[in-house]
Amino acid sequence: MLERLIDTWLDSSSERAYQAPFCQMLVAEGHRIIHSTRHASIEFGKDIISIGPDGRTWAFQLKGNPGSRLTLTQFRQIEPQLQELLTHPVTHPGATQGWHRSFLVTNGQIDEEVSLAIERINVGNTKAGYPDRILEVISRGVLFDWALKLGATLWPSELKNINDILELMTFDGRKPLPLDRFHKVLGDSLRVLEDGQNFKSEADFRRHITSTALLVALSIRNFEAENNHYAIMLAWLLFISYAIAAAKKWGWNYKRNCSDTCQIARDAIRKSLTRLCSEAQKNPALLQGNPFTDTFVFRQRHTLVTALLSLHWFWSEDEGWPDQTQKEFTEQHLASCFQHTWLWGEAAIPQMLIYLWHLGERSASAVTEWSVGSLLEIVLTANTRDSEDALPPPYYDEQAVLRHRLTALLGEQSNELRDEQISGQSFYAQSLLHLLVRTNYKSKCKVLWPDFSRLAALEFKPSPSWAYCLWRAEHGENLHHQPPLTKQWTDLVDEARDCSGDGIPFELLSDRYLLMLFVIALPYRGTPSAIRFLGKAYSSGWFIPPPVERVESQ
Amino acid sequence: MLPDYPEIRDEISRKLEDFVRKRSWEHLGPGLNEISRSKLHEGDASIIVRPDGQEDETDFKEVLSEISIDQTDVPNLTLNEILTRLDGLAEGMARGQAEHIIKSLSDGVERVGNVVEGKAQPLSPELILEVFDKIQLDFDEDGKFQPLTMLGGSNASKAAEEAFRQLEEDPKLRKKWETLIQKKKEQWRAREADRYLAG
Repeated sequence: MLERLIDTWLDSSSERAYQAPFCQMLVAEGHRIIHSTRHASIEFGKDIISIGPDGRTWAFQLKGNPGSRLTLTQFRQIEPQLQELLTHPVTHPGATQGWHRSFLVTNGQIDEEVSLAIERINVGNTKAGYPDRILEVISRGVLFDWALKLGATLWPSELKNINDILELMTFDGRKPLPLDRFHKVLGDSLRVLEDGQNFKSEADFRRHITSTALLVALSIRNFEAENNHYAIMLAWLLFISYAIAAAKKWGWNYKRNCSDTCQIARDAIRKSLTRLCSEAQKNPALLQGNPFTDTFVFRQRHTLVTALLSLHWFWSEDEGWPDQTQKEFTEQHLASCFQHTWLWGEAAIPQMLIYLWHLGERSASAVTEWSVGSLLEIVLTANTRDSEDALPPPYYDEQAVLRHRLTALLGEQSNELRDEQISGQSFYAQSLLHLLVRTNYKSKCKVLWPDFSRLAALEFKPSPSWAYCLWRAEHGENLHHQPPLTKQWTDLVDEARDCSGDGIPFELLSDRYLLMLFVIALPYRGTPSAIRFLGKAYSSGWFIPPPVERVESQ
Repeated sequence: MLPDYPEIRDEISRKLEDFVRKRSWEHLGPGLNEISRSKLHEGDASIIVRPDGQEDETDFKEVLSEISIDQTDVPNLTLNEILTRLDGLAEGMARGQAEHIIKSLSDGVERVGNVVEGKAQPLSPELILEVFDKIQLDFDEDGKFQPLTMLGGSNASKAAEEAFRQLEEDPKLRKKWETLIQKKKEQWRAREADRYLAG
């Protein structure tokens, strides 16, 4: 069955779709990836650059020929790029001395005429005195063998959730990523579920990490086909978080065993974010599909895309923009889209926060401080005891909340919130209060305190702490904090200063972009500790005594 | 396997589960079915952290209710008969839940000392005054206290009605009642006045 699945995947994947898993396969073959292009145009003919097991620099150009062959006509079209691949030196600082090896990679077969053409190029270069400038080919057969070797680490006896994998592979790629199924597949593969057993050795653990990466690639093929960028982001994000969980659970060194593979996953996330931005550039109205039904979901989509573009802005300002037009578009779009954002539930709060932090960084005004206060006020008013308009808790996603709001149309049965009383409590009020305290708007905090003291502050504390990385934790405490009637301002300030990120694994804390995306994707993981940490990471506004930060050595 | 029709059976099953859920809620009765419910999406413990830092862990209890169907009945069961049997199941669930809720409440009030010993006497106005003196009352903007729920059997309900009637009509008892409510209102005002950020 594994062969069949890999066959299906290879025969349906575009070049973009198989690039990340190809990197994972290279890592499994002993390579160290030093470059994987994010851009639409490739750099000097090189999509991927690695240091191979032979110590030499390897450069790859990828082509997508799913279920077909690379013909001579197609070869002639890409020949200039191949010449760049062969003749331009690799200038990457991580490259080794000496000329690089050059590879054309395709997930299809190669026509005989193409093989002959490549042979002629190679002979020509050798005769001209450039014996190193040989174009080698990795075609479908090699990719298949490598994937099979990786997959064999996991299949067939170890994986219990074959049905879940098959369901993911046939899932409608237009839908949101089914997190519950992904949880089972990743959890089973990386043994972070209840009945998992430790890996036999460090090498076995490392193999499972790269094999699971291949599993992720297989599972998301339909999402790739539909260009469902957010689903692809989440799939790779969960892969990273579950890898962290597995390393911590079983006591294996994350840096040594997972960081290469997770770096590839991180690149894949960044690529999807870039593509989402490109799509938004072409469709700035953010409308999609049948307008009669789009009207119900538009504002939730808008709020999420606004959040992701805000994250993209921070990430690109730090690590470089894919192109200048994306920067211009993102800044213009985010400056003018506030009226469509919607606080549809507590799950939308992290989305609102990253957007507000972006506005704060772009503007010299006190927009963030003022807005955080307004956000808190909205939550306190909506969630007051006996309120009928309470914001649903962050465990309820966009669709669940819509079903709740549209029971007159859709009926009560599909309403997950139908039996739940959600007023009188909040997951995010405490976090928002701490962010407001940092602005030192004491008078505003005093005005809001009585209403805050009437709400129970909810929080989930997973046990053990690595389970923070999972979609759901089997064990842990659901905490209902009853605030005191009277609180000292200085005590509140001390709480607000804590940016240690207590309860969050260091590997997630050390990457603020992944952590922010994690909290957007799993908003109930936006604990007060996480939000205080992210607030410090994304907002420079700080008007109280200095923060208390975590010191951890790896 | 024999031919089967899982899709429609799943639909019917969901509807029947809904029925049991609704009916068990109704069987709990007014008062108990007004208690807030919330779903625990993950984890295996629920803890209330009081303002003084004290933690009260909620005791999870499994509530079970059973019905059985004889194989020989299956061909002839009507929808009404199925619903009647499921209603019995729902009643059993409600009984189990009610027992647990009342036990939890009793344990809770005993722990904090909010107990008035009735000494097996009928519920009297004096007893009501003693009970109300022990509990915290919240008031609304119009000065009325938030309605309370009293749990008791049918005899206790009749006795409570009579006791409240006496509190309303007997001048001495009425004066005591009004003084008590005024005291409670002042306690409430003091509590609300304590809701502030100091410093």
